[in-house]
Amino acid sequence: MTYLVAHYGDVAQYAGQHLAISATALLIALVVALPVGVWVAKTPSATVPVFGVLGTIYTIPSMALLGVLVLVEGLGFWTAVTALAAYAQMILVRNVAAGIAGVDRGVTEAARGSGMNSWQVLWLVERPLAMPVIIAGARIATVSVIGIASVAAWVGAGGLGTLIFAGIDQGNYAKAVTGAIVAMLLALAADGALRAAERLSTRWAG
Amino acid sequence: MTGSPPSQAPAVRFDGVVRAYGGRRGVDGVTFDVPSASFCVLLGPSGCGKTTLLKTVNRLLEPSAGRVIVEGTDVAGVDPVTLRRRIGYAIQQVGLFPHMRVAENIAVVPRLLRWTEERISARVDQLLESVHLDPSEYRDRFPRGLSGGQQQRVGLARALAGDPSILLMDEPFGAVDAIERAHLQDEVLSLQRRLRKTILFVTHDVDEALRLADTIVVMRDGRVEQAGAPLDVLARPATPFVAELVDSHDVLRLLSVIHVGDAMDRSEKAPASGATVAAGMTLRDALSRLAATDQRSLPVVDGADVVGAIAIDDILGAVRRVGASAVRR
Repeated sequence: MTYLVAHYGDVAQYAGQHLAISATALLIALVVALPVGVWVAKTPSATVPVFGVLGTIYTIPSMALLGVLVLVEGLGFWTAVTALAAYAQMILVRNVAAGIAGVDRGVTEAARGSGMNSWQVLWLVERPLAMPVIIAGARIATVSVIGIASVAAWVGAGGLGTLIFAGIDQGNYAKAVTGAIVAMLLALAADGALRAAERLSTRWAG
Repeated sequence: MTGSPPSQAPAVRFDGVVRAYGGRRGVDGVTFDVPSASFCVLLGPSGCGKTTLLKTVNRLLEPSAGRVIVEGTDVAGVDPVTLRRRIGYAIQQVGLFPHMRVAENIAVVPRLLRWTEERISARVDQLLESVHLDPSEYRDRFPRGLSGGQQQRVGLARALAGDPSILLMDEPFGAVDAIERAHLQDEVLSLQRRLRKTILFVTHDVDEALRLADTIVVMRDGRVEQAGAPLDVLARPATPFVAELVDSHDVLRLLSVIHVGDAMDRSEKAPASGATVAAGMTLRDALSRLAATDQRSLPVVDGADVVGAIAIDDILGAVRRVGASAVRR
């Protein structure tokens, strides 16, 4: 606590970096995962290969993945973002696909039978009905990404990992614990916000 | 009444329709016409191809061979999305959009047709009233908050929303209790008569078919076993399968498809005092009414005029005549 008070400015700066890395990674991950997830849901033959590749990426240890990415992209912000976005893919694609595939067939058929084209079925019916499952995936992905983002410090991208690793190196546990606790609070706050969004998206089921 | 004049072309014509899927012929060469403004029921056990056939009309499924002609035009040449917006479609209540309020559900087709909001809103209220749901109470509810029967009414209203001349209904009353089902059947019949819609209705329930249909098309293994008026199908089944399905010896069923006007004694026209029956009622209704009074015979009315009288003997006579013709066959 005394550490936080004394270094308030530093902590806030690292927290800001941490959030920027996580948010950018999640945004990119979502932009990729939405079309891929929809495509997987509509193309049963794509399920096994897509989840095979994503599952493999998911099992690579984060340090190893970052090591490889440093060779390709060098040190810095975008290397961290790339790694985190790759990790989030698995969770996001799986939930987008499950959400879309889970929409009752009778409902989509009624939508087509009413004269919606496939984009209208997707946007007006499947998207809203899949939204709770998609947001649930985004919640898990967000919490994971904010946690893993601590390792971004290794590739010089900053973030709260800087405090944690420096604290451990210097034997300054107050510093390390402050970094860890602030990272945890960020994850909890993001989780709470998404939980509220999830509730809003299921008003109709109430 | 503002019905359109009867046109020569049938509302729907099935011409040698085949639908093969994975080596199996779900529909195997079906040919018949559905006259405009008629109520046609596709009847048969599950897997007989009735739902598959229905879905070829709005191109949810494509025939492997043969043609489906809607109001004179082969549907194969019509954009499916355009086609579906002018054909109403109602299925079991799972088909309501759970995330949309009742009014939004009903407004789906009008929105797709780009009606003005004002016109849509008026249409929604009018439709809710026509299916006996109070707009002020039900407009803003979600489907989850409705009973099975209410959901079905909303489904019916939604199917009617774009004012289609043809309505496809696939076991729409399958998931509601018997009393509510009878109400819904009455309402769909009266809507059909009033609005002069062509309805193509799928069911496996023989009594429902007898009650609703102008024409029953009995299907089995993708083929038409018999197509005819309810009385024909019941009294003169074309095949042993139809006879077994409709149970031709069931007198109560016969009573429910013969109309009072066809069985009454026309020579007797006693002035109506007290209980009467309408010529359009079934013998089953007439029998119940006779049983409820202490009279031997009841006057039959058509509008305000007494057109005859009906007694137990007339009812039995009609049933025996029909039974005899069934035996002769």
